[in-house]
Amino acid sequence: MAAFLVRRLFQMAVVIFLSSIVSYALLNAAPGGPLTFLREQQQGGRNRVTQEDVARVRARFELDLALPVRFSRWLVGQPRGPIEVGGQQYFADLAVGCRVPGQVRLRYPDGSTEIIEEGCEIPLTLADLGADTTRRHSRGILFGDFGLSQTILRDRPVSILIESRLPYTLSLMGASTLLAIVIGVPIGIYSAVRQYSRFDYTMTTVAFLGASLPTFFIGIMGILVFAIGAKEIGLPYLPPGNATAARDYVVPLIGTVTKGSALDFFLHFLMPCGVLTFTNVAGWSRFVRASMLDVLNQDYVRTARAKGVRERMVVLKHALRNALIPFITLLAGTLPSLFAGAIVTETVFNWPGMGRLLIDSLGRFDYTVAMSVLYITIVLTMIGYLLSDILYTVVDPRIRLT
Amino acid sequence: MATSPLLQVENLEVQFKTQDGVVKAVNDVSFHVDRGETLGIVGESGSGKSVTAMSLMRLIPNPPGQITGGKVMFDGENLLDYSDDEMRHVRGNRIAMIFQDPMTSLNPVLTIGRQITESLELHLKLTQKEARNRAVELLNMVGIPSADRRLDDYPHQFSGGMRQRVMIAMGLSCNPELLIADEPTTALDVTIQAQILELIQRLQHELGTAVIIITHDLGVVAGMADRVQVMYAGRIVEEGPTNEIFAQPRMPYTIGLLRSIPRLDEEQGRKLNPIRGLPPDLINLPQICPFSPRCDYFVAGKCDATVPPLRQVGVDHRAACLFDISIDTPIPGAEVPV
Repeated sequence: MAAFLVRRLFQMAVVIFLSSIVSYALLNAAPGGPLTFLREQQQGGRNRVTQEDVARVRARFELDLALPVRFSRWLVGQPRGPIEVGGQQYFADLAVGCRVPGQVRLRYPDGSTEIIEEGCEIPLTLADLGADTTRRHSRGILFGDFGLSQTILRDRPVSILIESRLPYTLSLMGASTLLAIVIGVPIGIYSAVRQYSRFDYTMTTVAFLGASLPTFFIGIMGILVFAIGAKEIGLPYLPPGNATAARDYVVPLIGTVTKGSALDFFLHFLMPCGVLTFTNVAGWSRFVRASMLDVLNQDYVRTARAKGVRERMVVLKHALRNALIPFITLLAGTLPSLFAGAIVTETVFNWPGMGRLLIDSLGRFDYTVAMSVLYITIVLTMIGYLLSDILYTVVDPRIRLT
Repeated sequence: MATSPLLQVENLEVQFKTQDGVVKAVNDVSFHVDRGETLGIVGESGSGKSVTAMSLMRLIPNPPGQITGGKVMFDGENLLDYSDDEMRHVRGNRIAMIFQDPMTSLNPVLTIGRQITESLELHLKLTQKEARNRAVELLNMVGIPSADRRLDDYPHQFSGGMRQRVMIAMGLSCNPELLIADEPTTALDVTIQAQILELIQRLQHELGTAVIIITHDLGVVAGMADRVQVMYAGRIVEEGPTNEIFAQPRMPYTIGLLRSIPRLDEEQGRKLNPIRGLPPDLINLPQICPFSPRCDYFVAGKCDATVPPLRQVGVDHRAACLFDISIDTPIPGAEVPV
């Protein structure tokens, strides 16, 4: 077990490092970026955007640093300047980026011009990096410093942003996951025990709908029916959008709802939670059903029946424990989503959680925020799978970790 | 005063509904088992022997299977009239069953101890501690060394033979009056087979349990059973005392089975005589002798006219053949051996 853990933790570190590289590179390879707008301005020539302006923005987003250097500064907070050993500075002249890139103005035969970047006019050395007092240095995400938000909360720590969004996501994902287990597992068991019964067919249809309709569609339909429709015909309605209202409002039969009250939160909470629960129940009940059917046909279930065990106990004691073993892996996969949230559902309901934060940060080129969310998701995924491996040994005595 | 048999099965019929039609797995099967005796049921795959055994316990999965007719009189009462709850008290308590594959018949996530004590607590209402002590006794009885320690082991920590011993211990835990062993040695290698059969025999003598042993291995039956019945296509085609069946088989199917076994004392170079053809499809069984298409002694106009009933051919010996055929009857059309 100890040897397994050591080896596994080492593997996790490698995987986390590699996936960090990949996600960082992909994020930066995506088209667009904070400079696009400036460039357009330059091209159009309406505003005087100087190269200094561009350089300033580049420095703000660290786009003037080479990608590996940027990554290293994000991950471990290095390099911050020339390497100092015993008072001596080394590599002070090493170029790690480009302060002002060279520009070439292309003139086309039809009279239009285009400016493209080529080469480097003024390189950025380690010495420049160390001397730049306006530049903020992160201690590195590996040491718990998520860095500063670049656009969403300009120059304030990402951790503040995450702290403000996390409770919303945790409550939404926690409640919907728990509900989905509590509802989905019994449905799956019952569907398997009464295979091809009316209940089974009904649940199969419902699960089929839940699994094939995208959450944004269910979400929008939910808003149409339970928010807009219900409000128009004077029934109690569920307010869509955000987690709390901006001002007090009146709901028929319930009365005045004070903004920011628990009731206000609950009413906003119901619909996104319902949509997520529905989707999860659809998938998980099918999973449990399939797994349970498989187990119910096993010889040892017949043995239990031949012993005269009560059918209820045959299902719950002999079959269920075996059937839930594969379900554990599935649950381990939900651990990161508890934190990262449901991107689509949160966006549809404008829920101020982590999923929407990720979408916002991508749309506004807030690289540090986006990478923080991605990084935490990576780490939690790893932890989730480690936990599921350990849980396996608890529920299945045949499995030993070596 | 004639004591009634422990188990009396009358005209049992079991059918399975499938997409292709109704499979008549067991047709009009009647037999009895006396207290303490061993009955062997022999037949090839799909002949209905396992289904017969499962229906005695009412363990036929429904749907698709259903017992469509007959009676299973156990100790004077028809098990088919029992409620599910009453039936549960019979299973594992008065009738126990051992299955073919000990590798898959034990629950992998429960300890051996837990699986043995379960029926003890259920049927004999023992406390956990009493049940545990009894389980140790049982494991000792079936010859598992250091039983006390092994009680907390899981099935995967046992070898195949040991697992079958555990299954036997489980089966005998409540001192059942009838033990049904459904191909108990098929999944085991030959040396272990002998040990397991010996064990079943020894325990049967010690406990006075009646045993139904189901197998396709004629050797197993010869060594174990007092009486044998041969099944073919869901019917009993011959039944009688074991010696009688092996010495004087009267049904061409049984004769064919015996002819197809290699013998140690036969001349060298003799070819084995297999039974030609395949067993019939149980979905559309015509009203003819089910074995007639494969029979060496087929008589047109007779064998394909009716289903031959079991008829007395000797003391306690009955066969389902219209003709008096024995193992010495020459095969018509075959070369007479020189």
